[in-house]
Amino acid sequence: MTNTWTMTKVLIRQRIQTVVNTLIVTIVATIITAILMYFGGSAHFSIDLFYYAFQPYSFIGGIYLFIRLAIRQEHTWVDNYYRSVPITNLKLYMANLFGTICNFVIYCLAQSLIFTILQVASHGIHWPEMSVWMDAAEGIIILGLTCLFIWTFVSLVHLLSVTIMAFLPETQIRLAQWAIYLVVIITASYLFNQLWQLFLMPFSNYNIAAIFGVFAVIFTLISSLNVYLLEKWVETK
Amino acid sequence: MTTNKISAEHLTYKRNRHLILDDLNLEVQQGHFIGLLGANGAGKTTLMRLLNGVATNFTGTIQIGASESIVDRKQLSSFSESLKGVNANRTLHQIATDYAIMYLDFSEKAFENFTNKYELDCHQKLSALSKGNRKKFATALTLSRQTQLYLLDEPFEGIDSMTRKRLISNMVAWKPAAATVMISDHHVNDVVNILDEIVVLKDKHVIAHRNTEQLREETGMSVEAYYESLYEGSTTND
Repeated sequence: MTNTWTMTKVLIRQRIQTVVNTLIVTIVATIITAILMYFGGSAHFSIDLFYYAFQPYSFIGGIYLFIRLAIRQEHTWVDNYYRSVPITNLKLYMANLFGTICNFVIYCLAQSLIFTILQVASHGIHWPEMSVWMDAAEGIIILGLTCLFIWTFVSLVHLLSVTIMAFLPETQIRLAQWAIYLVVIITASYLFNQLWQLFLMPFSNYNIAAIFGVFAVIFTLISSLNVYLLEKWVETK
Repeated sequence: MTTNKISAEHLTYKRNRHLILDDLNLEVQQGHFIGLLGANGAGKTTLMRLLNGVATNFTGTIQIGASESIVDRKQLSSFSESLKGVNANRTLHQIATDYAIMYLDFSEKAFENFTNKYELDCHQKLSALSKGNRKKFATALTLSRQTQLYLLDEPFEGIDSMTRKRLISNMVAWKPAAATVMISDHHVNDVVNILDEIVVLKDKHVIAHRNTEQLREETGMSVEAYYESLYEGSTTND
C-alpha cells in the first residue's frame, strides 16, 4: 500500500511547476513595471521602484496560485490517476491537502524572501519590536488557517455536488450543475456560520485560543464529511 | 498474498439513475487471458472499473483472491484507464517516475522494455502523442506493474493492424504464469488466438463465460461467430 508521505511527495512534485511559473511571472511583471515607471518619467531609478512594484504582483500571484492549487486539489478526487492508487481515502485526503499547503507555503516563503531583500535594500535593516513579531505571527497563522478552511470548504462543496449529481440523469446534470453548486455553497456557508457563532458564544472578548479551537473543530468536521463522501459516494469520471 | 480466483457475486451497479449491471455473477481462475466482450454500452469498462476499485457504489461482492477490500483490489489489479486525469504537459518519463513512486510494484526495467518495444520516446510530452501511441503508453504503464490482475480496456484502439499483431505477441511473451489479463476489445479477430476464456456481457449481466478451446470443440464455431450469434437481434446500454 502507498503511504501518505509518498503520495504527498508526488502531489507536491506535480504542482511545483505551477508555483515556479507564478513566481517567475510576478518577478518579470515587477521588473517590467519598474522599467516602464522609470522610462515613463514617474520615478528615479532605485530599488524603491522594484519594492513598490513587487507588492501588488506578489498579492495577485498569491490569489492566482491559491485558486489554481484549489482546482488541482479538486481534480485529484475525480481522476483515475489518483483514485487508482492503493491508498485509503483518508490518507489520500491528507496527502492532497498537505501537498496543496506545502506548495502554497513554498510560494509565500519565496515571496517573503524577495520582499525582505527589497525591503533591506531600499530601507535598510530595522528590527521591529517583539510585539510586532507576535502580531505578525498571529496574523500569518490566522491567514494560514483561513486558507486551509477555504480549501477544505471548496472540497466539501465539490464533493457534495458530485454526490448529488450522481443521483440525477445525465441529461439533467448540465442544466442543474451550477444551481447545485450555488445551493450547496449557500447551505453549507449558513450552517458553518451558525456553528462558528455557537462555538464562540461563551467568549465575549477576542480570544485567539478560542478561535484556534473552533477552527480545529470545524476543520475536523468538514474533513470528516469530505472523507466520508470520498469513501461512500464520490467516484471518478 | 496468494490468490486463485477473481469473483463478482450479485453485482449491481447504477449511475445517474441508469442501471448498468444487474445481478452480475462472474468467477475466473488466475493465470488466463480473458476476453471481455460485448457491444458498446454493455458495461465492459464499468466492470473493469468495479474490479479495480475506482467505482465503489455497487451492491454485491467483488473479490480478488481472498480480499474484498477496495485498497487491496487497487493493489492487486492494474487498470489501463489509470492514466485518465494526468497532466498531459508532463513527459512520459515524468509520468513513469510518478508511477514508480505511487505503485510499489512498478518495475522501471519492465517499463523501459515495453517503451523500447513500443518505440515510444519518453522525453515526449503526453499531449504530443497520437491516440494510438497514448494507448501503447497506457498499456506499457499497466503491464509494468508486478501484480495479479491486469485490466486492459480497448488497448488496441487507434493502433494499426500490423502494430496490433506485434503488441499482442509481445503481451503473450511477457505474461507471467500466475497473472490474469482481462482484455476488452472490439477487434475480436485480432485477440481471439491468445484468449483462454471469453466473458460476454449483454443485458446488464454475463450471458456467456466459456473456455475458448472447449467452445470451438463443442459448438464447431469460431469464437467470433459464437459471439456474434449471441448478439443477433439485440441492443444494450456502459
